[in-house]
Parts: sequence; structure tokens; C-alpha cells
Amino acid sequence: MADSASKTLEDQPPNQSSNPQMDTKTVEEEEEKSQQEEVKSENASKAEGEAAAEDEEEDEEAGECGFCLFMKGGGCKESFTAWEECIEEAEKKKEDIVEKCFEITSVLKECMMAHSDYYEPILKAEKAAEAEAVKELEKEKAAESSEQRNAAVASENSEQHSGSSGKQDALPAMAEEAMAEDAGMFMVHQTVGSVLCCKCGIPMAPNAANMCVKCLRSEVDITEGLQKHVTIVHCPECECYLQPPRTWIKAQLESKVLLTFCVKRLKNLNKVRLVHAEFIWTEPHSKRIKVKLKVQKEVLNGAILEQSYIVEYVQQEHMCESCSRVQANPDQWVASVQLRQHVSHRRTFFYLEQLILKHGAAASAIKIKQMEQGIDFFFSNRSHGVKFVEFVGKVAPVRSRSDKQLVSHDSKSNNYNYKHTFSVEISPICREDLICLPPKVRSSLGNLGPLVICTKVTNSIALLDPLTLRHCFLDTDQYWRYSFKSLHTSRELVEYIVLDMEIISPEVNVGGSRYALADAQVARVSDFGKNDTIFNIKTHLGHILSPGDYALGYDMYGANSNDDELEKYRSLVIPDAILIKKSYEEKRQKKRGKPRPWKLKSLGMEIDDKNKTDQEKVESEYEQFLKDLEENPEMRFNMSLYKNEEYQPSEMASMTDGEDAPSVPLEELLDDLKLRDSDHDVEDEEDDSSMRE
Amino acid sequence: MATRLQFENSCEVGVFSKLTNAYCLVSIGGSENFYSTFEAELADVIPVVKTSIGGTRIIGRLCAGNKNGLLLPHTTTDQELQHLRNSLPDNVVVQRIEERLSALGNCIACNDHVALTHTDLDRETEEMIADVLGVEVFRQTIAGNILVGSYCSFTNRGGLVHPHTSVEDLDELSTLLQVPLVAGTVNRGSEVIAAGMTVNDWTAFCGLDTTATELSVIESVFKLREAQPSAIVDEMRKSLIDSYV
Repeated sequence: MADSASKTLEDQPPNQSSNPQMDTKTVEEEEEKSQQEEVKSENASKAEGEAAAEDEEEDEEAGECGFCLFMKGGGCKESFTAWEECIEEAEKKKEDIVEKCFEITSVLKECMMAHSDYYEPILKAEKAAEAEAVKELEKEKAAESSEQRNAAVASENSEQHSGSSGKQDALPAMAEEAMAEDAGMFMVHQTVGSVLCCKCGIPMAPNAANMCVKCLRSEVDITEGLQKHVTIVHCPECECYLQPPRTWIKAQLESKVLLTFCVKRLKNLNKVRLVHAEFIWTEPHSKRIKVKLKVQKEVLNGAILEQSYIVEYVQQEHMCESCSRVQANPDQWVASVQLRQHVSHRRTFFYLEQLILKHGAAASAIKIKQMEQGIDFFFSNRSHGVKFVEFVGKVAPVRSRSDKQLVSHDSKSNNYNYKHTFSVEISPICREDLICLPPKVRSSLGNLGPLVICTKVTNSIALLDPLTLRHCFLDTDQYWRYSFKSLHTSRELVEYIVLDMEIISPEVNVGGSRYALADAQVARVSDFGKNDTIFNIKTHLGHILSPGDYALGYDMYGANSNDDELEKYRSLVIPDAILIKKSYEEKRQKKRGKPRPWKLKSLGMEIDDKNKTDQEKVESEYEQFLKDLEENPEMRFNMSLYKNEEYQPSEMASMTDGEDAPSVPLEELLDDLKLRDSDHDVEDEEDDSSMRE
Repeated sequence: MATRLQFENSCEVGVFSKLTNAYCLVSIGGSENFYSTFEAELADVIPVVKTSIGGTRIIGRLCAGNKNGLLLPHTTTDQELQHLRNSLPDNVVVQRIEERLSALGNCIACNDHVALTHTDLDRETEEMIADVLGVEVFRQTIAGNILVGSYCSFTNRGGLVHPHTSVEDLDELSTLLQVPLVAGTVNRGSEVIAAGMTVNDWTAFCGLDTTATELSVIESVFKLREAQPSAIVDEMRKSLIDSYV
């Protein structure tokens, strides 16, 4: 028996790492070998990095060795020779080869890469050596970080086991040896012997517990006292997990976040060292999450045991606070913005809708509701509401006030819950309205008008005197100081036919648009052919109107205006008609009912039941709005128009190449629109998204 | 044969006893069990002496000895010295030495012919060891440990060393000692060999934790199976007769 014991030791084969010519293939093969042999290959692989380097040098010293011949036989002869020279020189001068020849080496390497088919064997060997070196480096780091230098890691599978236990003991010795060799000392190489496992008696590399892994495992269970079943609270609505006491973490199944969360939920995990965690796939509807953890712990005089175990998390469904609040009452809002304009039409809101869409101003709104004379916006946060009010203030002349209602309060913690309401009123003055300015305003604007046309409404109102072509702007504050109303609104427009036109002044540019003052002879279309009522009037539309054209205007002759402001001007001569714009009604007749080549998005408002009745009116107003858009490029400026998929280009072709004169301006507009689409990339992208809708 | 025993719930029996081929020292314990086990095994062959050294019970770690002599640390009292001189056979030289490293058992490992010592022992001590114990002295380490007395245990027939001893070291030590050596453990994986067991040429006492595997390694490397006190005499007689004839 004694003989056999000592024989085990003698039987230890000589250290294989002493063979510097070892092929990388051998290393790879060895890794697949059995447990004891792997201990050796560990040693072998340690020496491998050096060996590969020495390999080249040794061969080179032997003159025209096989290696040099091989190297010079390929396409990299020059760079190799240069490298050789550099190495020789460095050796003579005793300089650091790595530093000195770094550049030349890299050139050689690049060249070898380029001729990779020829140099493949060497590249392969080098790569393997590099990989080994990296592995060693990592292992060394790991060994240092695990504070027990002499502690042996006994791990799950035999491969890891041999890798760690053999190595950790060898490492300090290796380092010592390397140091001693550097100092020129002779050191006997130390081969790790084998001892019998104290429990089962199988030969093994000595470790701190001097027990084989299986026995060690049977002795101690490091997962004892660790949680294997955990209940986690999960919100089914928003896929959140409760991080006690009250944080909810949003995490997808099998995500990093969820893994972190799961690991954090484990108690007592600080008693062991966690080295690995992964999900084991489970059916999502099983409400179980399984995580496989690998932990390390020091057992029995410094031996580190690694063990993996599975933790099962049971998902308990419980709605989170915000979800349950939403579930209980989906209309939970904190701030509401009530946008109103006290006029009989909704044109302004069609326009505002497009502006809001374009700027994404109502993206945070939780509900948008169409109301009588306006729209209500609901927000879950006061600041969202304030932001929206500010946005509206920038695009329309508005005045607003805010109120709050106390919903609940907790006087102990000084918490107050309010509902905020912002009442936003848009001025009733719309584009194309006829206004009789109050005397005060008139005088403050330098005796403008007093009959003026509103040509544009942004956050200021542009007014134009059609008789003199004077114009001015009223900003929001100025307007709300007097807050006058329109005399006539665009609904009261009457169609006229132009009989004669005489331009009395050249075309002038007023506030960005062109006008020409003209004397015109017009007749109401309704009168046409019935009587001979003809009006001789002045108009600012001399540049676009010509005899025979139709125009829309306010019939002051027939109007029975009941306006206080108008009364104040006793000596005022009211013209019989004031033309506002050219009418394209005739030309539109043709394509009525046909889809437009473009379309607009909508906010998706909820509509109150009582508002549903006059759906027809709304539709006609919308149609009117679309026409306005076509006629006014200025209005389109702030909007996103989208291609209409349903639109058939053939129709357009037939329409555009029609010889009928009336469609010409429209044709230009269409061209214009097409240009817009192709010009603006951003809009194009939006186009695509809308097309998919 | 190897025996497993405990000293007052401690398995480190090598600490509380000293066994050589000529005598056995055991420390004075609370119960008589420990002593009786030695007595039962050894009484008719060698004297088993109850003693303390310097008033302590860790006699195994404080003294070093073989069949020729016994070295005691300077902490030993005169009474103890006198008691040991009276109790041990006359041919055993009992000597108290003035050595700074007073745990002689930890610093010296010896059989009847060779001793391994701590590298820092005084030259005088080294000479004293050679004189009193009649051995050749080598300053050595075992698997990087300088406390050679703790990490190895060997007799004239074999030896057990620290499990981390490399193959090369094992060869070297084996050559020095001229006995077969093996790396192993006692007391279920303990590396402190000499603390866990005490051994002479024909018997060994190990801690109660020692596993069957360890015990079998010990018995085989120290050749305890065929070894009985009478066996030596028989063997000697045979050879004597052989040489006579």
C-alpha cells in the first residue's frame, strides 16, 4: 500500500510545459481531456504565451531556421527581415524588444494578415497564444480579487474545478519563480502533486479543504439559508414590478432590469458571492420567473465552493397605484384647458387643430373633447396644462384665467390635491371678418378705417383698410383692452360678379401680401338677370379680379347692421359692398365630391352627444376650411399636409391638363403642394407614418 | 496499527502527546481516557509518562525527541525536568536547551537518524540536537512552511508531509531522510500533520476526525500493518542470525 501511495507520486508525468515547441493544437486538444490532465494543460497553457514568443526567437537564433525560411517564403519577406534586424539590434543594445520594435512588429502583423492564406498556421498559433494570455490575465485578476490567495475554488463541473483549484495554488509559485528567474536565480520547478481526498480517497490536486469537490459538496450546502422561493408583486396593466416599499419598476420579461430586480429581492445573498445569474425560460402566463444563480462561498479553512441553484419567483398580480386609479376612473385629470371662441363657426379650431398636431402641443393630453364653441383638453399634470396654454397664447390672440378646486387635502403632511381649470378665450375676430373699429381704437391706430378687414390672425391681428390699403397690427393686449367684435363674419359673405374693373393705383405690397386699389363695378350674383342693381365700389383686390370674375364680399347695401360702433360714426359713408376675396366656386364645381390629393391629420377628439346633431354643418365648415387652405399658401405655412393614398393620380392628370381656364390657380396650388411634400424630408417621414394609418 | 482518539474533545492528539520508539509522553488531562488509550497500546513495551512542560499541556509541540534523547524548551521547570529524567529510561538523554524558539516540537521533526529543523534555529541548538538526539540535522522547509515540526511527521520507516508539497520537494526530502514520503492529511483534511497525529515505528495515534482513507494512507506509509514491536526484534534477530551463519 505504501508502495502504491508513493508510486502515485512517481507516476506524475514530467511537466509538459517545459516543451516550448508545443503546438497550439495540443493545447486545444488537451482542454478536452480528462480532469487530471487538464491540470497539466493549465500549466502548459501558462507557459504557452511565453513559449509562442520564445518559439520565434529561438528559431531565429538558430540562423536560417525552418521558421525564418517559412516566413521569408511568403509575401512578407521585407517586413520580416526588417523585424529580424530590429530584434537583433534591440538584443545587442539590451533594449526592450516590445517597445522598440512595436511599429515594425505591427507592420509585419498587418502584412501577415494580408497574406493570411500563406501565414495561416502562424497566425492561428499566435491567436491561440494571445487568447491564452488574455485568459491567464483574467484568471490572475480573478485570483487577486478573491482575497484568499491560497484558497482553492471548488466549482460545479470538473473543468472549472481543475481550472481553479490547480491554478490558484500554482499562481503565487509561478509568480515567485518568474521573479527569481528574472533575478538570475536558479529555481526548481514545482509540480503540483496529488493527494488522496480525505473522504473518498480519489487522487486529486491538493486544495484548502483537501477534499474532492463531490465530497465537499456532500459536506456543505452553501445555498442553505438562501431563498429559493420568492413572491414578487407584478402589475398586469403596466408590466411593472413592485420594489418595496412603493417603487414600481417597469421591466420586460427576461430583461436586464428584471434580472437585477429579481436578484435584489433575495435576502441573505450578501453572505455568499454571486458570480452568475440567468433566466430559465418559463411560460409567461405561468406567472413564474425562474432565475439560475451561481454563488461562491468560503467553506472549510478557506476553500471556496461554487454552486448553482434555481430561485423561483411567483408573480402575484396586483395593480399599481396609478393603474388602479386609471382603472377606477379613466378620466382622472388634474388640469383641464377649456379653449373657447364665441363665434358661430369652427374654422379657428380646425386651424388650431392642425397647429397643435404640427407642434405636438397636446401630446400629453389624456383626453380631448370637442365642446360647443370650443375644445376641452385634459391633462394629468398641471404643468402640462400650463405649457399648453402658453402654446395657444403664441398662436392665437387669447386671454386666459385659471382656477383651482380643492379636491382633497391632508393637513398633517401639508398635501393639497387640486383640480386646475384654465379658461382660454380666443378673440372672436377671424380672418376675412369685417370690423368696425371703435373710435378709441381707430384714433390710436391713426384714424384707420373705421371699416377694416382682418387679413390675418396669429397672436396679433392684422387689419387692412380696403379703401386706403393702410394696414396695422393689433397685438393681444391691445385687442383685449377694447375687445371689439366683428361687424360681419365670413358666413355672411355674398357672391358678386365683377362687371368692370379699373385699377387706380399700382400693385403694392402691404404686410406681406400684394394688393392693388381699384374701382369696380359689381353686381350681386343673386340679382344677376333679375334687376339692374349695380354697385360702384372701391376694392383692394384689383390685382386678381377682372371683369367676369366672381368675388365674395359683404353686402353693406342690403345689410341691416345693428352695431353700436357703427352708430358712433354719424358721418361715415358706408360703401355698398366690400369685396373680400375672389371666389373659385365655379371652378370647384367640377371636382366636387372627388378626393383631394392631400389630407390632414386629426386630433381624435371625443364629441359630445349634443354636438353631434349639426354634423352636416361641421362637415361643410371643414370643407370650407380645406378650400381656404388651398387658396392661402400663408395658412399652410404652419401645417403638415399629407399625401392622400386614396387619391388617383389619373384623375388629377385629367383635371390638370383640362383646358378649362378656371382650374388654373388650383393647379398651381397642387403643384405647390407636391413640392412641399418632396422638399421637406421631415414631412415625408410623417407622410409615411400617416400612410400606414 | 493506528489508533484514533481524542484529547478532551480535541482531535489534535499530536499536541498533547509525544511518541518515540523509546518512550511516550502524554499531558495531564482532566480524564484518564487519553492516557489509558496510550497505556493500553504501549504499556508493556515502552514507558508512558504523564507530564506537563512549563506548566502547559501542549507537550507535543514544546519538546522534540527520539529514542536517543529528549529536548525540552527553556520554559521547562526543574521539577518537570527531574520528573522526566526519573521516568524515562536511562539511555535517553533529557536535555533542556536555551533556544529562543521554545516550541521545539514545531521547529524540529526527527526520527532516530535524521532531523529537519526550522531555518532560524541557533547554531548551538543545532549542535545540541545532533548531540542529544544523535541525528544529522537539516534546515528545511516543507511546502514553503518553516515550521517543519508541524507540517510533517516521519519515522524510520516512512513519513507524511503537508499536502501541498510539490513532487520535487517530496523527492528531495525523501532523499534526505532516506524514507519513503507521501503528501497527505489527517483529521479530515487537516494540513497540520504532526498536530493531528503522533507516530513511532510500530504504532500511530491519530485524531478522532481522521477518515478511513487517511488512516489507510498513514498505515501504509508508516508500514504499521506488518510492524509490531516484536517484528523489529524478529527481523533483527533474523539478520543477526543470518550474519552469524
